[in-house]
Amino acid sequence: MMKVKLAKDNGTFTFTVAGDINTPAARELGKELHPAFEKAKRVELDFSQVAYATSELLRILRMAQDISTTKNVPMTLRNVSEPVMNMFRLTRFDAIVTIVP
Amino acid sequence: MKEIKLPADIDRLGDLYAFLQESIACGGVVLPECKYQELKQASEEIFVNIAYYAYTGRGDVLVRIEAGPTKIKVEFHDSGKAFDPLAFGYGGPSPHNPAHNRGGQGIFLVKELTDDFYYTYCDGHNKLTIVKAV
Repeated sequence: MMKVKLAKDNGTFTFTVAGDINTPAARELGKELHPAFEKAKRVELDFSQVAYATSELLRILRMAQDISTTKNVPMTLRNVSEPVMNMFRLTRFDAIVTIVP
Repeated sequence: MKEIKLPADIDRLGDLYAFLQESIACGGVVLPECKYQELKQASEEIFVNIAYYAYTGRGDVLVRIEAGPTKIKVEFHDSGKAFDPLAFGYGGPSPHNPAHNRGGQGIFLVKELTDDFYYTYCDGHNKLTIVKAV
């Protein structure tokens, strides 16, 4: 089961996600993540505790990236585990988002 | 070969995972965790695709699994509209064209995460088969 913790610090909204992000979980994450761009100055996602994700996560992150560009609110992905990073590389998603260790 | 019939509904993904684990265990196959996760993801991508797109109303998915010492074969049967996933390509985004080709990521990943992937359509039934080497 996926758990999402949100921390707000001086306009930076950090989502720490733990657990598997299967299709329904990715949709739930999208419901929490996308509205955050309305209030945040910067959005960060910590995926260090995520070892499994599917293409639905790519879909919601690409939507988030669109909102990030439109609202001029930077989005950064942090601590992406190797299996999830592998999916980002395979789909070339890593070419369009900011990913930091 | 073991089989299970499930409603084509993403709320039944838990049943799919359980059936996958059970079938692998019954076959006496020791699959490394990374390979299991890849097979699980490929299976989920296909199941979700059927749940989203195969039927206009309700429908079922028949899943058959054959777990042997060298490979695991998973078949997905549905009687929804004909859909050949192998006919679609995926170009992927790039920094210069981030919106490029948004569809087809799931099927692309299935191809990447499995060792074989084939499709047939016969008598109103789609049959998608994936194979993962052990």
